Amino acid sequence: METFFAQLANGASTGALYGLLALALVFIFRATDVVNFAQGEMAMFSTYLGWSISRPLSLSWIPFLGVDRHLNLLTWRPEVFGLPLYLGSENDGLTRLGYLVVLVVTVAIAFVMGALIERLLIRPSEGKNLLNAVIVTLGIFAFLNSLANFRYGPVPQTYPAPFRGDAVDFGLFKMSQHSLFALVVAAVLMIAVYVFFQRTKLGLGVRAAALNPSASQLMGINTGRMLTLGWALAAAIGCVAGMLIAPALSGISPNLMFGILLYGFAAAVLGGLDSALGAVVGGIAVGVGQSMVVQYVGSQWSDIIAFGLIIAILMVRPTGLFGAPAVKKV
Amino acid sequence: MAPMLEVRSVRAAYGPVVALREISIRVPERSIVTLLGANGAGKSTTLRVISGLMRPAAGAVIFDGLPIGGRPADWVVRQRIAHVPEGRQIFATLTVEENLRLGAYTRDDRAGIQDDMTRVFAYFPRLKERRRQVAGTLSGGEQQMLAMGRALMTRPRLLLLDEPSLGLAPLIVKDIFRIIQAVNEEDGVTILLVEQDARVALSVASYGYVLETGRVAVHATAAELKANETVRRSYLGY
Ligand SMILES: Nc1ncnc2c1ncn2[C@@H]1O[C@H](COP(=O)(O)OP(=O)(O)OP(=O)(O)O)[C@@H](O)[C@H]1O
Ligand SMILES: [Mg+2]
Repeated sequence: METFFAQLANGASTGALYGLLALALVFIFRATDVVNFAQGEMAMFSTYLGWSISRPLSLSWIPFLGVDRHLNLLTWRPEVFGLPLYLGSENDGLTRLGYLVVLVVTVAIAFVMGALIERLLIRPSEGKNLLNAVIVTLGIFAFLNSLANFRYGPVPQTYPAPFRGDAVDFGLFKMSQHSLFALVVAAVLMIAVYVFFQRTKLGLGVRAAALNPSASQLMGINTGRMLTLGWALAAAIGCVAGMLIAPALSGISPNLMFGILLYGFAAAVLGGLDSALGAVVGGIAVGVGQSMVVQYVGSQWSDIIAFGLIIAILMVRPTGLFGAPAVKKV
Repeated sequence: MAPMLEVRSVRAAYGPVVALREISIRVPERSIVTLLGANGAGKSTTLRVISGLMRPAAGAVIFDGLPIGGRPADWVVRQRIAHVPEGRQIFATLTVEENLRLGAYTRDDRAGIQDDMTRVFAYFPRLKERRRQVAGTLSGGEQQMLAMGRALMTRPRLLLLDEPSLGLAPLIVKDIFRIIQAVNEEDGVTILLVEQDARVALSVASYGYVLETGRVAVHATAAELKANETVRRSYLGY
């Protein structure tokens, strides 16, 4: 029984990350009707950037500093008047403040990367044929994967995580600190996304621009800017998912997101490609389902079942659990 | 006196299809001017050029002395020109209230927005009852009211209306036109009205233009257009 609950908890945690990736897919699909096949690779690549900046950075190019000076954000221990400004222990080589800095900087880079991809690559292919944009995303997929292989090599690298201590005991089951952390971050992010879309004017503008661009322009909304923002946010969310997934797996490698993207797609399709709530629910359902299959059926079945699920849903209920039925635009 | 809006020798095309050959229109402040004409004459295209949804290939659009032709729609609406487009184009999966809030997207004056919301609900009590309802489930007449309400939320000085009577029962048409007149008289909003139903349009407008294949065929005061048998028979169909 304990195994069952442990699987449930871990499944929910991984599922929340699938949900984040699905959310990113839904974002872009709602804004542009494009299924972004590069979502996983964008996340993978920005996750690598996070890895790069968490490495000791040589400062030897700064004159008079000495040749062996390094700046390492992860072990950065700033103090003010002797008071430490950092959390975390001295000996695990990682401060939580350092991790937070890496996280924020990396997500910001991912945000800009998403915006640039929309502006430079997606926008020119837009308006002609939807398929063009989809093929462009496939191109980005291949490009980023090759670039990561070229730049970082195929060998997985260990990835920093802020919480590595003993598993937390909940009585019924135990859960690793990282899984718990991932679950909390995913939940906070999902709530933030919900609040952004439902409660802010800018969020309403993004939704409107996706629904009816020309009517939105008549309301004074700069629809081009909303599309860029949609891609940027999707890239940022994908990046958070990647940074949380990498330590849970064997570290980061160029193929980090292959499997994850498959489950993210399964989650998005299950929830309905145009439903943010569906993405979250779908993600958790897929994550829990996967860990149950791995535990009780056999891990070799999990990909087969995920693929089967995508196909079955598209055949039986193409709008997913929460998707809007395909109504003609009024 | 210079008119509030002047469309000067505007040409416009959809790719190879020339929609406007040469259109010149003048709309004085606080008036209601109507654009009439058969299907495909270029009425909607004229409104699209004014509101910035479409770039003119030649000619000028002057609003209050300011050249606005070719500027993007999201800029034009900030000059307080609102466009209720053909087919209403409401946000079908958003609620009535969200649609109205989008009308106020360019504005930050909370109190003013609240006032205008109240005013819109006074004009269209049905919208108030259905404020939490998803807009796509409204009836055709209610959707027209929502489209107009949403445009009023931009607090326009000039309102462009494209066939507000389309597909509506006569009683509702009467209602809508009563409100168009009220918006014009009480709120001082200038109105450029595109209509298929020339009779209804000329009953509220003071001046009319009849378009034919991208050109102005006739223009005169509403009274003159109504009185002219030839114009009525050959262009207005009644
Ligand atoms: N999106 C488009 N692509 C190509 N041609 C178009 C497009 N929209 C309109 N046209 C053409 O431009 C011309 C003017 O169209 P417009 O919609 O302005 O006419 P209208 O007077 O509003 O007609 P209606 O009374 O039917 O609404 C027509 O010949 C039409 O076929
Ligand atoms: Mg028309």
